[in-house]
Amino acid sequence: MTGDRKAAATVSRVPSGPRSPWAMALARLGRSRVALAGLAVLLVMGLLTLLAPWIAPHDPLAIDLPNQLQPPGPGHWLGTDLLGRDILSRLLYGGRATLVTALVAVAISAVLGVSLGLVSGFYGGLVDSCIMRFVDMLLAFPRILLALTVVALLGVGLGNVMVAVGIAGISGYARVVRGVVLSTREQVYVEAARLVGCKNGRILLRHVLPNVLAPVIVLATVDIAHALLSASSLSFLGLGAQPPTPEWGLMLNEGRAYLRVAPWVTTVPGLTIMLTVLSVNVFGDGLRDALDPRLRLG
Amino acid sequence: MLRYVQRRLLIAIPVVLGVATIAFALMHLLPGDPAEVMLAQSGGQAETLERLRHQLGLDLPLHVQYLRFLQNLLRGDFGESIWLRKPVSQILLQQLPATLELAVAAMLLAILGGVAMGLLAALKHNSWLDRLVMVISSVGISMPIFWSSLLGIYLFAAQLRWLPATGQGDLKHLILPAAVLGYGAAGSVARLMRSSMLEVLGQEYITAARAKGLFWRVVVMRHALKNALIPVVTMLGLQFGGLLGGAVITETVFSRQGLGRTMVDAIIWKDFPLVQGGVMLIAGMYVLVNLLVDISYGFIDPRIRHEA
Repeated sequence: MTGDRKAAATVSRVPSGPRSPWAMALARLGRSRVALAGLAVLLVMGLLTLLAPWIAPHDPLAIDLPNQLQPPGPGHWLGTDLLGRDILSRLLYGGRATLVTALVAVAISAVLGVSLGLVSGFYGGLVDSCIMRFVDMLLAFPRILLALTVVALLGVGLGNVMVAVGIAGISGYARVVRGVVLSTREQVYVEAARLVGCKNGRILLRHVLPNVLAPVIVLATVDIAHALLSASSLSFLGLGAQPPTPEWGLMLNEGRAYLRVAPWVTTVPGLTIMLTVLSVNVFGDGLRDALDPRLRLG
Repeated sequence: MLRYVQRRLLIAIPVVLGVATIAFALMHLLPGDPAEVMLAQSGGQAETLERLRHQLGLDLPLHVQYLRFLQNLLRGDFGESIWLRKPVSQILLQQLPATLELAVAAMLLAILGGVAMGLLAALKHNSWLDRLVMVISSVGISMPIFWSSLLGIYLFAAQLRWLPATGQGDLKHLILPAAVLGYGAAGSVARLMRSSMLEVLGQEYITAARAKGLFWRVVVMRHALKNALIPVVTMLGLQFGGLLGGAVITETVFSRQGLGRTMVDAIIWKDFPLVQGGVMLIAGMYVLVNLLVDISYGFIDPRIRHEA
C-alpha cells in the first residue's frame, strides 16, 4: 500500500506534460515566440498607461506656447505639439482613453453577442430565426459605417464611441457562439443535465457557456485590434474624444495641419496605434492557434 | 447556373429589407422627436413644428410611416437634406461616382498586390521572401488608414513631390488615396491567399498533377490557383465593406468629395435624412457586392452551383 502511494507520488512528480485543454493551450501559446512578444508589448503598454500619472514627465494638458512644435529632444523626449504640450505625456495619458475605449467596446460586443448567440442556438425555432435575421441585418453594414450611424444617433463623445463600436461588433460573436451552442446542446452531458432536472438557465450557464469560452476569447482578442482602429478612427474624424482630451486618434488629427513642419506630432501616435494593433494581432493569432488549432491560418 | 443566381437573388431580398428597416428605425430611435431635432438644427420657429411633423409624416401611425418609407424607397426618394436643402438622392448620386472610383481602384490594387504577395509567399514558403510578405501584410493590417494616409501625403506629396496631396479629377489624384486604402486590404488578402495556397498545394491532386510530369508553373496556375482563390473571393466581398468604410477617412484626409465625407458632415450637422440615405446606399452596395461574390463562386467552383 505504502509502496503504491510512493509510486503514485513519484508518478505525480514526473513532468507528465499538461493535461487539461487549457493547460495544453497555454503550453502551445508558450512555444509561440511571436505571440509572446506581442503579449509583452501589450503588457508594457498597459503598464505604462496605468502608471501615467506617476511617470509622465509633464502635465498632458499644460499649454506652453513658447515651446510649441519642438522636435524630440532632452526636454521633451517625443517633442511638443502646436500648443507646446508634451507629446510623451499626452501619449501616456492618451493610451488610457484609447485602450479603455477599445476594451469597453469589445466587452459590450462580447456580452451582447454571446447572450444573443447562446439564446439563439439553445432555444432554436422562431427565437433563433428572429435573432439571426437581426444579426444578418447588422452584417449588411460595414462595421465603421454602423459605428458612425450609432454615433449619429447618440452624439459625439468617447462614451458614445464605446457603445457604437461595441454594437457594431455584436454580429461576429453571435454567429460564432450560436454555431458552438448548436453542436453543444446535442451533447450527452447536456441531455443528462436536463434529465436530472436542471433549468434552462443553469444548463446554459454551467454546461453550454464553458464550451463557447475558447472561441470567444480568441474572437475578443482579435476584436480589440478592430475596436482600437474603429474608435481611434472616430476620434480622428472628430466624433469621439474631444479636445483637449489626450487620445491617440485625436492626437493624430491635431497634428494633421502641420504635417510638413512637424511630422513627429502625427508619427508618434500613429506608430503607437500601429504597434498596439500589430501586437494584438500577433498575440491573437498565437492565441487562436493555441486554443483552437482547427482555425490555424498557416 | 441561372437557378443558382435566382436563389442568391431571393436570399438577398430579406437582407435589403432588413437594411431598409434599420435605416427607418434610425429616425425613430432618436432621443426625442426627429422633427424637433431638425428644427433645432435649421433654426426654425416652434410653430412650424407641427407643419414639419406633418411634412415628414411623423403624425401618422408607425406602420403607415414604415410602408410609406418603403414605397418612397422603391421610387428612390430618400427625402430632403436639412443641411443642403436638396433631395437626398440627388446629393448621393452626385457623390457616389467619386467614392466608387476610389473603392474600386483600391480593391483592384488590393487584389493584384494581395494575390501576388500571397502566391509568392506560399511558393517560397519559409524563405526570407515569405517572411518579408508576412511583415508587409501584418503592417498593412495594423496600420490605421488615417495614419497611412498622412504618411503617404508626407512622403509622396511633401517630400518626393511625386503625387498631389489633395483634390481629385484625374488618375494622378487617385493613385495615393487608392494605394493607401488598398494597402490594408492587400495585407488581409495576402495572408489568406498564402494560407489557402499552402493548403491547396498539400492536396493529393497537386501531387498527382506533378507525378504526371506537368510543369510546376502549369500545376500552380491551372490546378492550384483557382481553388486557392475561393476563400479569397469570399473575403473580397467583406473587404469591400471595409473599403467603403475606409473611404470615409481617406476622403476626409485627402479632401476628396464623396459619400464618406458627406456622411461625416451629415453626422456632425445632424442631417438625419442624409445620414439615412447614405447608410441605405452604402449598405445596399455592400449587399450587392456580396451577392456578386456569391454568384462568382458558381463560376469558380462548379460544385458550389450544383450543391445550391
